[in-house]
Amino acid sequence: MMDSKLQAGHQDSQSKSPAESGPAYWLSLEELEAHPGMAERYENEFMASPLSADDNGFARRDFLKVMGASLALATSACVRRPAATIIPYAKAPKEITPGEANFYTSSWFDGYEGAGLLVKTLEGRPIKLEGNPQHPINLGALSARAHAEVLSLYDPDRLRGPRRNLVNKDRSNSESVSTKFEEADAAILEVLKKGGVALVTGSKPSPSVRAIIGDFSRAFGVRWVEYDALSLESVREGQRLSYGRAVLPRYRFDLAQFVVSIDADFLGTLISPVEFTKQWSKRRTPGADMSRLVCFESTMSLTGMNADDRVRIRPSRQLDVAFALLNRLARKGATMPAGLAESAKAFSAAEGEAGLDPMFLDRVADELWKKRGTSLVLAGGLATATAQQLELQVVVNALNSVLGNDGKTVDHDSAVFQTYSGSAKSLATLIQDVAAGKVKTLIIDDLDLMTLLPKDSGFAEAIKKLENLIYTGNRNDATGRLSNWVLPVGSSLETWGDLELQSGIYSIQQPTIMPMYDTRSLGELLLAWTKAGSASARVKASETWLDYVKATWSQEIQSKTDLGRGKAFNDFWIELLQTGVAMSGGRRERTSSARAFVGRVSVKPAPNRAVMELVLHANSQMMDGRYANVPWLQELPDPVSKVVWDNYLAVSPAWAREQGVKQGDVIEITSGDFKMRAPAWIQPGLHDAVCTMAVGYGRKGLGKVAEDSGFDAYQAAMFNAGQPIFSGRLVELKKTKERYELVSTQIHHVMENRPLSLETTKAAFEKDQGSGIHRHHVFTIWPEHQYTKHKWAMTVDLNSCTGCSACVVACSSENNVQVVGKRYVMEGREMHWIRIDRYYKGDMASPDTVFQPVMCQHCENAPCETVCPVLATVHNDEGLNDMAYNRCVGTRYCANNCPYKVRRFNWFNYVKKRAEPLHMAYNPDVTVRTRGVMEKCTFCVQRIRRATNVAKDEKRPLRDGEIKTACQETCPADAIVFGDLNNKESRVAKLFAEKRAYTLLEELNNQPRVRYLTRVRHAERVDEKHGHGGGHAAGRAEDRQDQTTCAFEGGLV
Amino acid sequence: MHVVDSFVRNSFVRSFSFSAVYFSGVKRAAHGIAFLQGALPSLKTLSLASMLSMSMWLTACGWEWGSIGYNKGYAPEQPIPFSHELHAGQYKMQCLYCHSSAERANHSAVPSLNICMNCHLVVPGSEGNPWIPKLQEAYAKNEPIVWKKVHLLPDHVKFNHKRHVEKYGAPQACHKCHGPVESMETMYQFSSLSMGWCINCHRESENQAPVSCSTCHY
Repeated sequence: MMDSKLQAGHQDSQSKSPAESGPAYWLSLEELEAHPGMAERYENEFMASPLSADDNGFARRDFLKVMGASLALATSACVRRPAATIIPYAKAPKEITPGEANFYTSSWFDGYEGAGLLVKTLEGRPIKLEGNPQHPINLGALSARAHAEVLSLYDPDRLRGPRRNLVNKDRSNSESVSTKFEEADAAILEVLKKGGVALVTGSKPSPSVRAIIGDFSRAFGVRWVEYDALSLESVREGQRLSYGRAVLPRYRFDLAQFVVSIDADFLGTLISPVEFTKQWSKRRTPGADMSRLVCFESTMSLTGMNADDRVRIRPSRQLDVAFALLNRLARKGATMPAGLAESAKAFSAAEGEAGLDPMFLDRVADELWKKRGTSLVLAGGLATATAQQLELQVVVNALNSVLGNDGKTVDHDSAVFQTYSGSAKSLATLIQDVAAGKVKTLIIDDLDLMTLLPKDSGFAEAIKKLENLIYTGNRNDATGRLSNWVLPVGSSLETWGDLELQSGIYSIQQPTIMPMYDTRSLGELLLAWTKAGSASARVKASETWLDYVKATWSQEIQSKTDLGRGKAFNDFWIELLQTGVAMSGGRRERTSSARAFVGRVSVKPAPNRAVMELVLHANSQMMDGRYANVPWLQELPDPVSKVVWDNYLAVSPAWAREQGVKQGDVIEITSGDFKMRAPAWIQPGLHDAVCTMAVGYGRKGLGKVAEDSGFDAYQAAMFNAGQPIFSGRLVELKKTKERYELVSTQIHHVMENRPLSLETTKAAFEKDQGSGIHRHHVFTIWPEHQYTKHKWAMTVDLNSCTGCSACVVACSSENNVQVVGKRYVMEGREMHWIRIDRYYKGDMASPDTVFQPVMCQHCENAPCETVCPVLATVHNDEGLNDMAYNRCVGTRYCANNCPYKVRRFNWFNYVKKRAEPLHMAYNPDVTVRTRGVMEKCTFCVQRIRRATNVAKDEKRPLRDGEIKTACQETCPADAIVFGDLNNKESRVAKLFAEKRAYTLLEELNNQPRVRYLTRVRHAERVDEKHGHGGGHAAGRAEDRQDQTTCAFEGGLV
Repeated sequence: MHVVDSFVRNSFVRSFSFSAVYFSGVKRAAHGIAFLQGALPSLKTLSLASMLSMSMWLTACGWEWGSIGYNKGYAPEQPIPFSHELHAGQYKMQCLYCHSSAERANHSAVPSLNICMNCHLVVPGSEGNPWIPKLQEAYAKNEPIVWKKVHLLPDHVKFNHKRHVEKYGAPQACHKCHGPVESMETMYQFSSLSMGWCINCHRESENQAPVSCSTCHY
């Protein structure tokens, strides 16, 4: 339990700031404030009884059933029952060898982010998605959501065929019958021929789909509107207002030495986070050239947590920040754009009231001015979708123009032209026309507009005027239920397609499985319909959708690409399928030229209001909620709060204290006649007059997983006649008596305030690369272990890891890691083999953050091995800490003895809870663990075996980098490196030898095979007192008293 | 669900088949006590003696210790009584002709019908053989034959056929585990395929085979 020192410390913290009195690094507010429950958590490895409440019955009965069966089996000597069968192909496809994976190139786009894929398939079923290393956008990395597509394919809740809903006049009933596409075609063609048709889709970056939509529109006189729920329209419109042409620029973080972000979450959710993270992490190599990031934020975003300096602001102060910087730059000699001068003056006069730190802004402006042409200022995303969203964009563009960044770090030439063409404005006009009865038939492509559109859009009333509503969604969700026809589009892994994610980068989308159900992609659907109308030559010549895609490529794309020039189409096509991507060359590395800034704004500073402002934002795992029914993403701890299975209303600690609000208290949010309820989450780093909430949760009708997960935040947005407002809505918050259980994993597997996540300053690093690390003198009387063959090891660079958590999902996919559900996560039973610890540092109003991925450390002197009574976990001759599941009897001693808390126990047969056909996504290379078995990271031993076998076949030594673990492969920041220490030339061996490398709890002499590279911060924010990093932390439990004493003397990090 | 089922099944079969034998031994002992109460020196001795006699009896009956649950000798009836004795024995067909993936992959797959049809398109078999027409019909209808699995490794064991075939060559490598297949009228499981049996070979120094857990278990 707690010692008296700790108690004293707690009382102290009332008067002093927590940074002075509490632990320097803290995982949660409970830990910072030394909550009594935390001490208990330190004591208990396992958080609750294994058999509790209603699961008792299930678990025991089930166990007995299995046992009964096995006893019966055992009594009948030699006969094996039930007999297993083997069903070989009748006519085996040439390319398939049972048990061997085939990889196909493809691509993925979820409406916001796109990537090139390699789809791993086994016997014709995709089991894992990997990034295509040749694709210039994601370069082999993938985001967490991209991995989710494979589970989405096997989603048991998606529609298995078209449905006809028997809706009545005001669309209030919900009877639904299944139907056939042929039947639907016939009926719909009648409707189409009557005219008055409109089509609403999300942004469609696919050249073939754009072409068929064009053909379809011409054939039936269809009006096509694109709409994205998480709109980037303001960025595009801002560009038009500033430079005369609407483009979505391509930001070049690889060229930017200094980045200032105003609520732009470019590492988490904005435009192309994986690409941006790749670029950004390249500039994070410690040294003179290391880039610097300053964030002004109203939410606590992934980008803000990675910032060197982060300033919390209200959304109504975004413009103040932009103008403050512009004014300062003008004083330094930049030419103030004429159209902005007047507003800039007004903002300059009101600067004192904005509550910004003028000294800090001076420093930022100084540095921006110093780094003209290699800096970048950006704003965008939901949090900037205020009433002044366009003005903000124009001022930000002005900043880039006066700094000479335009054309350099803001590349408008190879821009993302077509990818995000969604426009709320055109949708608003369409809704008006629908309401006016001008549209008879509306086709909605896989957008649950009833959920995605705010109530004031008038969509719900307007569609009652429609004669026909056709919906191509995979579910009978809120929009589906109101539609006459629901025609499921299936998964992108089932159909042909293509993508032009950025201009000149074309990638192919190959089907990797036959459509599992009776589904048709949008292209197939429109092709079938267009054939019956006045079709174009291409439509007439195309028997199938594949023919149409091929025709588009041969007529429109081939000649534009380097790969295709001067080749016969078939040769080009075969090569394209192998590379997955074709480009028009040389464009990507070149910078463009500066444009003339012509923007004008007329805006006044917002008055100071003592009212709460609500900010809606997207988070990287859920985005608009399309994948809300994918259990991997629901169980993935939010990168910021580490909350699973829910969203919440985040409020600042000071506000919560003032209002007496505790974690999980349900808050009523009121604004005019709008009302909603959501549980409170106390989020360090938020402005005291700001509350934030993630969209994409609480979606109805998606399926069993999404149901009851979180709260629908879209309803708090305003459509505002085509200029959606997600941010800055003035709200009143009232605490209710209700409570709601929010589950955060960040208080699980705590490592008790030991010096784990180390950091240093840039200045200190330049003097001594090992600064920040306290080396311990450990010795042993035993000889060192000898490894004659391989010596596997891993390094994790804390300086480039952004905490995006893609690795967690990649690992789950590769290693068949089970999802356990909110209830069991609450009891600390999540199964993730890799976790991303998130440490806050400093005071809770505005903390710094460090992320630290922790997986099995594969210690040479592993504490888990010595306590296993059955030798289920032992060391092998390549230095891996092996885990033999079939030998494990589930004593859990190993988990108890592991100082890194990386072992996970199968309390139940989670396998049985996995609904079919989700089991088709299992990786057969990895054993599916059953109840009562311990498991943990294996360093992807199955990949090691595969690669070593290939090397043996080819009679050559293993090449460095040939084995990539699943987490390493998907990491957008390239923070993880895996390899063989016995190969002195390997990357991992070199990184191991770096002075910046350290091991966790070195003093225990476990000799982990995972080394971390310290995080190097730009100087200002690191308190020298803590910067020392090491301190003498006694790691053992019996020494905890000394440790806490030490903590309050400030010596411990 | 195949992966899961057989993993669960096998682990339970292993553990409970042993315990069933153990408990039945104890039960016999207990009956003995009731019958001769007081006449024998001690309960412990009795139960030990009983278990010993039980094990001797089982051994005498041809039990091979350690084979329980391993299905050695298992020879299920197949949907088509394919004879290895005829194909591999008399006609001396190479193992790898049909089981070609054994030298290419982890799995040595049962051949697909099109491999059978390479010959049976033109080889009708002896007069009145009902099976070859059945085979041809299945092929024509594109319907696979559902064979009974003879050699079943639990899913927590990863065995690489290719490595073994490469090292010892076919058919020597095949013989080591599958026995004299060319003399088997009906295919049966020749070896116990137990872990101890695997390890016995891997331990032989001339084989230079790895013995760490994660060689086979991951």
